[in-house]
Amino acid sequence: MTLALRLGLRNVLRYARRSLITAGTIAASFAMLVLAIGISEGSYASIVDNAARSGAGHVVVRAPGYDPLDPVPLADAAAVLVAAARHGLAVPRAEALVVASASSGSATLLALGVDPLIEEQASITAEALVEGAWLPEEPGRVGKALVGRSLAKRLRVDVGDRLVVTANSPDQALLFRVGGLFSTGSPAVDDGLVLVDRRALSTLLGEPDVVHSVGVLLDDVYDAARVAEELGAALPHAQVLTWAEALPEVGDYITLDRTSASAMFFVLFFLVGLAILNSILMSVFERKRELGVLLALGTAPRTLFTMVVIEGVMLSVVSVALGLAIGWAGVSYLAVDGLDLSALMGSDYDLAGYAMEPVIYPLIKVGRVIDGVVMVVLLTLLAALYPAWKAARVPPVEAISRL
Amino acid sequence: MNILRAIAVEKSYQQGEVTVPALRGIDLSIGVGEFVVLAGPSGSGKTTLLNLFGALDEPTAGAVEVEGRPLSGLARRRLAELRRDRIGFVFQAYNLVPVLTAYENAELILMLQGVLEAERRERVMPLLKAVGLEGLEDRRPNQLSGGQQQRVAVARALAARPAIVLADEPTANLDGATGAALLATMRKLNEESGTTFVFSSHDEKVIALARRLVWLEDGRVARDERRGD
Repeated sequence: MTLALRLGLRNVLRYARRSLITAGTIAASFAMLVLAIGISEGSYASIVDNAARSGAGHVVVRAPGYDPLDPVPLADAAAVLVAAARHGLAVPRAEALVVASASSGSATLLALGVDPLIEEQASITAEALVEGAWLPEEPGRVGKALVGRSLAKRLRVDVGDRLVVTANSPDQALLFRVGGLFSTGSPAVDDGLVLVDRRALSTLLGEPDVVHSVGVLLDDVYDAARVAEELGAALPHAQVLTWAEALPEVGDYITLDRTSASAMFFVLFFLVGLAILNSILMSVFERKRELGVLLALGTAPRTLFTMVVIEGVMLSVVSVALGLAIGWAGVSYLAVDGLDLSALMGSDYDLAGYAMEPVIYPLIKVGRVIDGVVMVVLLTLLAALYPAWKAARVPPVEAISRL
Repeated sequence: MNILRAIAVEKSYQQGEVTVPALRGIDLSIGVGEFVVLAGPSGSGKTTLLNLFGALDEPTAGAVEVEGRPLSGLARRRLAELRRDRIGFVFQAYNLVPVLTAYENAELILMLQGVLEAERRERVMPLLKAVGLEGLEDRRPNQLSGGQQQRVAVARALAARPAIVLADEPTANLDGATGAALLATMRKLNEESGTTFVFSSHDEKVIALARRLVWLEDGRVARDERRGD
């Protein structure tokens, strides 16, 4: 063991109480960081999942040049569905901007034409159904429509009431009956969406069996980029997007939130870094005489510099390992039953326009935790540099006062 | 041949706005293998002169040479190497490293020199035995008496077989018997290995052992007498 390492290790143990307090501060801060990352990643996963299940999917396949105001049907939708089904649940959808009219009012909405059996497994609206029943397997002579409860309130319709849906022109209108009401918690969904059978919407649009997009729901949202790449290669004539590309507002929101969280973590650890700086600086000043003796005996200033840096690194590595273990345990514990934030979030659980579950299941994203480890160890190292420099510059004759 | 040389050395300290002279033009040469005691009243400049010979401080004027090499202008790293490789120090206040055991303190300079562990042990253990610390190798300084700590400090200074040993009041904190035993050890080493010893001391027993006594007063050499055995 080198002298710097031996002295550094023993000095950390020698000031046990101070080392424990410093290590405890770093460990507690890092545990909070891991927990905060876990909660934020859990909430992002919830947002992405709900956003994906509200419309696009984790990966979405569309016709090239897709325009939400005038969507182009997907060519060879059957082949797309087969390819997509290899990766997850393939969800075909048709869509159109429509006007929904009831006896007491009308509203411009997005009409989503869905395959009821598949959509029931995929869409958050199925879970959020609060009145009536899900879309029937067969559309029937008069189709059923599912609307959000807030829209129903605005149009003053209830389950069983009539709803006329008009597409591009007044002659493209179809009568539906409200089959059920959903309440996802997202105003954008609950107030701006009507779900109908895709075959009925195809009839309304005058195009047989139209599919505008195929969404792919994956078990792991972080698989989206890989699946999109593979599907893109398999379907060269289609546009394949990840959720972040298809729903840029969600991706932007998450990027912005991650960036601001990282800035906050940096500030937090800057303050922790000051505490470490103070702790190591104090120990250097207390040992000024001892450091002077070591220099007087011929210890290279570089060795003392290394010794103090080692003390800082040892403190940070042990503390980060401890904090990681505590934080990871906390995330694992909370991931079992979830963290219920409904008391804090109010009645509408909406982020970036998409519904968010009030119960968050924290999850560890290893890459972000590694970023955190690197940040803390680097900050600790930086905090140790000044005291290390001071230690190497102690004038031996002043430190020992007498030879 | 001179191993230490002070040439018109002056040293003054600044205390607030007052400049306090500690050495006022010292010319002193010490040859290889000498056993020299710097004596004189408090404030006469003994410690200051030892600090300058030990490359721990710089003179305000004049020059200091160690083994014929002027110290002025040497980088801190070079000065540290000089102290590590050529000079052994014995401090009045022992100045052991508290987190190291007696053995580890004694081998410290050998470690700094990069001497391998087996050789360190071969050199340090007989020295610890010679100074009466056999069986106490694993004790930390706070588990040793003042006399035992000073003996560790002597072992530390001698382990690297330096050309020069500088010792400031090495017996000041020791009882008479311990002090005498330490001095005998150092005198023996001086005779056997030709190591140069320079002490500062008020202690009559140390002064009595000197082969050369340099008496300082008010920062000047007042008397420089060589003695026979």
